[in-house]
Amino acid sequence: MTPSILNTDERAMITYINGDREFKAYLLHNGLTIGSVIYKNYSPRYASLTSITVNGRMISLRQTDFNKIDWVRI
Amino acid sequence: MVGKDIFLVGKPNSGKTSLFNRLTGMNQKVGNFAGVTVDITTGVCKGQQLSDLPGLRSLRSMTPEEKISRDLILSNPEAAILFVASGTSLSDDLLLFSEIADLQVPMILAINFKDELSKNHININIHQIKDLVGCPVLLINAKDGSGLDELKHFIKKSAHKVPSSFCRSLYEEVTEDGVENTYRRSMIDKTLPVDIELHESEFLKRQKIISSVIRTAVTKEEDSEHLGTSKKWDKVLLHPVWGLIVFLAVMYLVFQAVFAFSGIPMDWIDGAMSSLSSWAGETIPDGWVQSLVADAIIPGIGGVVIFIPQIAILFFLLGVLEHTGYLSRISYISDNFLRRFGLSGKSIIPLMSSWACAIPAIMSTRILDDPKERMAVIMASPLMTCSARLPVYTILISVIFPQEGGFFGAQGLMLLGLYLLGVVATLVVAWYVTKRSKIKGNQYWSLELPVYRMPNWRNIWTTVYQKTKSFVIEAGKVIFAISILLWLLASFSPKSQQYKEQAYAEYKATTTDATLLTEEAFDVEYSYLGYLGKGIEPIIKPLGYDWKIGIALISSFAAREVFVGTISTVYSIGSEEDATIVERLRNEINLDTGGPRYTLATGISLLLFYVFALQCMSTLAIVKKETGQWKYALWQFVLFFALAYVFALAAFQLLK
Repeated sequence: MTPSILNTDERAMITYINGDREFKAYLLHNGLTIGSVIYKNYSPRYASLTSITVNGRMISLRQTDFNKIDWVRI
Repeated sequence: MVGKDIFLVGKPNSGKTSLFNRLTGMNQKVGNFAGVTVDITTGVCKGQQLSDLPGLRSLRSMTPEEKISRDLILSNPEAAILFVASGTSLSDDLLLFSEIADLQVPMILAINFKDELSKNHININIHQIKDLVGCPVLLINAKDGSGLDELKHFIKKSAHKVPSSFCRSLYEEVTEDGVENTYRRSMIDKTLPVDIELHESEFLKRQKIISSVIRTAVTKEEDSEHLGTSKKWDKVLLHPVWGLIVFLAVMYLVFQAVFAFSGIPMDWIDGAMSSLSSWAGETIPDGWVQSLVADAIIPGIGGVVIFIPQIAILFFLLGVLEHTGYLSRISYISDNFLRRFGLSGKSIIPLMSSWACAIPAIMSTRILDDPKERMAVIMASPLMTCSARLPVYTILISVIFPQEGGFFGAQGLMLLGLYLLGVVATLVVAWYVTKRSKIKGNQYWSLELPVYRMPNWRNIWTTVYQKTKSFVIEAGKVIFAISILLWLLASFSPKSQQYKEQAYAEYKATTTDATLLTEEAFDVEYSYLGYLGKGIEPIIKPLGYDWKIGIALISSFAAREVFVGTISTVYSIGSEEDATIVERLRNEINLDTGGPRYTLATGISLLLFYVFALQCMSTLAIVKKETGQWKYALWQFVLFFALAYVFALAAFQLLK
């Protein structure tokens, strides 16, 4: 797990995805896999969702799902 | 003669439907596909049959809507594909394009949102993209129609070409007969294990091929202005305080508008149908044909048509919210709360729509991609207080709480309480369905937040037209049939006319009641419906009801609002004015106790009955249409009836 928090407007690259095959496949269908570059968008805490931009699209994932993604800030 | 099948394919929010509407005009039909209720709209363009398939993220994604698209593409290798890509997220859309291209079916690539590209200074080198994909490529704008003449020309000429393959070589296997490519089979065969490593390497390869071209063919994609503007708006519209204020204000305006704008056309339709009914009564000679036309057929049609303004207005407003991109933000805001009940933020729209009418609300559950969640919302949303319950609540509350108490009076609080009870019941039933349903739900959830855009009015009007037409045709058939059945039960009697006339004469001669029953009310008492009311009296007596209320309950199973009209007839009220009905109900005597029939206990019991009972045949018809099976509608009817009975019984027995 990535311990630090990705802040709004920061950019990161996915380094590892924890979770089962189904989860990895689900993320893949959303354009997220190892090597994908993501941008963190404004994500207020009340929603428990993390909003990111990947490949020019803005998507929101449940916070618990996003926490399964390891990334490195770039 | 319609020519080749062309499937319009693309990612969600790529502008497929706008393009489809532009290409086909209003020459469309909606077909229902078995199993999953998803509409595939088909139309004709330049002699070719065009089908608008639901948005697809990947050929391997398995949400119900996506499965329909995927299955149609895989099972129709002879069909051509018109692929619509959003110019503002081209690299992402080309990933899906490349998956379909590897099936080696003839394709055309249409890159949409030309206007946004030029507004945000994004340049796309079409020639380089054409070299990459190996099939015709066009830059279009479905919103204003630019580039569509050339596209229509391509469609007419069947200019689709089999594109270049991207990762097809990864699926080549050497067999005894030579080299076999298993790509299509790997997509179709569900028994094959998911090879995530292969999918990942395939994805990365696709991404690498596409990125290498996009890097030079497209400038300013990632940091373009359109995303930045949307992100700025999100900081306000998703803000914990401002976001909530805007959300409540928008919802308030939407529902006020549904009530305010639909009132006049609904009154007009009601008046027109009444006039038509009176005209038929005067024109057609006396007899059962006159009664059938004036009392069943015309009111039956009216019962369908009267919902058109509400449905059209609600879908128009939802269309505006959807097209601007705000609908997804509403889902974002409400997701955390609804998750506690097994739902997601996407459910908020159908649930709130139910306050106006459950019918458009159930139709709008198609926006939910989780089949379990969709079923939960379909099953629970009729418990939200729809506008048809309002006249019933108003009358009964006025009967049991005679004094107006100003802004915080008992009447207002009672009404608020009934609305809140509806919300709580909806969430509890939704929670129960998500817990107990055997339908496989989606394990993971994501929400795409589209960029904010000006609405596409043409597209919105087309949607409004299609949804309204679908309601009138599908739900209308059932409403019409049940209206006729009710008419038959109310118009015919097991007793002869002579017997009824004699009984009425005896009643008139012997009764000491100051409010004498009219002959019409007497006829109702002796009709099959009247006997039914008396027949169910032992069942409803523990709830505090008599046979007259029984008739009102039976007849209002067609539609709740019929309650008002029925009690007017049963209690011999010539007019349907609320005050008159209220007065008559207050004066009604309970023959068993000698006290008033409508006590606090009976009134609360009846109100609770109407909170829970599914007395709306249009809703049952639409549940059947959306789920594809009667069993869900029947289950819902029985469960809600049981809840209504238990709550009404408990209220009467505790308060009497």
